[in-house]
Amino acid sequence: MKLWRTPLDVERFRIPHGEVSILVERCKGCQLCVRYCPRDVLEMSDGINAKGYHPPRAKSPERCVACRLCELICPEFCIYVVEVDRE
Amino acid sequence: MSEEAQGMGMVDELAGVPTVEEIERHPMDDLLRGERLPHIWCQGCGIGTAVSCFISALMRSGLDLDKVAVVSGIGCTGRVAGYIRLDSFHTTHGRAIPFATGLKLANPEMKVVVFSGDGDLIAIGGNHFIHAARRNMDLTVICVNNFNYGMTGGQMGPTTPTEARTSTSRRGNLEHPFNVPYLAAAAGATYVARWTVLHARRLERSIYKALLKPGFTVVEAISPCPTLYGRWNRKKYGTDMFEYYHQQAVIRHDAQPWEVDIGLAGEIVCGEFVDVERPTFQQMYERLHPDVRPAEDLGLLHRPPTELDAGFEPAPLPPIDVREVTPAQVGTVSTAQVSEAEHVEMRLCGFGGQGIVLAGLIAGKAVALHDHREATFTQSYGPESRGGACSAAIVVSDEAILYPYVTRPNLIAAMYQEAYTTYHGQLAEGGVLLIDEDLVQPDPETGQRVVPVPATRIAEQELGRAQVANVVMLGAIAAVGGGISTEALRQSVLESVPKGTEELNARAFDRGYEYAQGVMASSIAE
Ligand code: SF4
Ligand code: SF4
Ligand code: SF4
Repeated sequence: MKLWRTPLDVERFRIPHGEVSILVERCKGCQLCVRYCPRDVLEMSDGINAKGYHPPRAKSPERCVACRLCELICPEFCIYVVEVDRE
Repeated sequence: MSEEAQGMGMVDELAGVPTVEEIERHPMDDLLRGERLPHIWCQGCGIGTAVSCFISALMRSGLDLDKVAVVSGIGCTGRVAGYIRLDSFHTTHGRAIPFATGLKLANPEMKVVVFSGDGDLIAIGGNHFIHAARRNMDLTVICVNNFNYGMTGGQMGPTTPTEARTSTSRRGNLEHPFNVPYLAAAAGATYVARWTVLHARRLERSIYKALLKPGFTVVEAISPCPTLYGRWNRKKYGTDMFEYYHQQAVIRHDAQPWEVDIGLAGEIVCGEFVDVERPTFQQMYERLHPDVRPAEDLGLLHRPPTELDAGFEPAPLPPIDVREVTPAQVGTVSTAQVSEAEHVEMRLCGFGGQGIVLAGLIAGKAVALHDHREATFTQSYGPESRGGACSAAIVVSDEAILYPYVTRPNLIAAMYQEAYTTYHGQLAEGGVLLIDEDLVQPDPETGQRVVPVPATRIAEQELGRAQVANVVMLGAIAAVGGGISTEALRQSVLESVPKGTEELNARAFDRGYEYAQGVMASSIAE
């Protein structure tokens, strides 16, 4: 993660990493997950689901910090995040 | 994925999206009736976010889920009870709190949550709300406030900000709205918080606190209704409304409830405004009637288990089906047009939001006003504003029409798989099926004549507006024939669409016409 200055206690913290999954058939393409992900992990895809909506996809999954905001904010219950070990 | 499918540009774009095998269930699926998803709420509606905050809070709360019940009234938010996999009650309009009160009194060990909208709780149910607060009934109320009546078409209500436009206050609301936290606090609630759904984390935490606190606890969730309130107030998309919250919401926990009115513009004060202790109704009851035995002692509430109960397991959830986007596997491509018989029936079907009903109306007008023939137009759709299956049916005839409904359509235009599945069996012999080929996979076994037209793709990629997919489909209908002359249909399109969009819609119509003709011509050549 890029930091504008290195915090003194940075060694004491482990930045979690998440794996984001998307159940595309539930998505209605509202873009909230893309817009409000603080780490800019997601983007809208050009593919469509059965109702003709564009679901999002993870463009830079390695940046996800498992904050789960997308999971909570998605009105369609289609995103969830599992915290994983980076190694 | 087949090579053929990969040749289609759109399919590649789904690379990276998990396939069926990779998909596990969503962690909230344990508390959702997954078979009913996707839910009916519009794209960008915030009710779903409020529900996910509630589910997340409930999962953390440690409450015994067998002893939690959700009660909803009527309205878009009233649907919540139907999506949550808990004991739930979908009650009459405005009466969620009385039902919940009864439930709680008879089952004092239960946690009863009322999850409903502002129209239901604060308008028609306003009196129940203040009196339940006054009694300090042990209920948690989650009030989703979207500033208008969503399900019935965006009318103004008692929470609509002054000067906001709605379908029944076109020059702006001239009344003052209720300030929900003030109302709840004044009436006696023990916990009152307000958040917008953008504050998902904080909303979740407030719901968590409200669930665990005794007494009448109220959480107001300000939530976008982009389809109606947003459209009338220049915030047409869910993201516009979220952006407005982002700019205007301020957190002020120490604000006095009477200071937190919501205006049309200006700030939305959020926070936890009240957190006090008062004896609850139940505590008072137990203090004053120590001699009354709890109802379950009397054997009134729970029937003894029967053999039927043993071994009863809820059915497992069906796996979530992720469809690959492939070009339609078309059975027979039609070459012939629908006959210009004296009596023709047609059906347009899809899901709400695609403009199916409008397209049907345009077709009906074309026949009656421009072709000067007889026509009837009927429509069917669910209570939702967008998302549910809907259909429009037109009968065209040279003689007076004695029965207005379509029974054996000669032409079906289907823009959604479910609609196709429901209606394709009705197609009359020799009839033609028009489908949106990206959204409908026809059954080749039927041997029906199919004309595939990628209406949504054309509208979105060539014309730049997904909304005109219905007009592309009308163009295709004109090409296939069906008792409406092309000029009449085109004329009717131009007269019915919003001013300023005539040129776009004319292009959409012509493109649909040309495409369908191309499909038919190419299948003749083969
Ligand atoms: S968990 Fe947080 S960082 Fe990861 S994708 Fe979701 S919003 Fe972005
Ligand atoms: S928030 Fe949910 S419904 Fe909206 S675009 Fe993201 S995944 Fe789709
Ligand atoms: S009409 Fe409004 S409140 Fe109802 S589902 Fe649509 S956006 Fe949500």
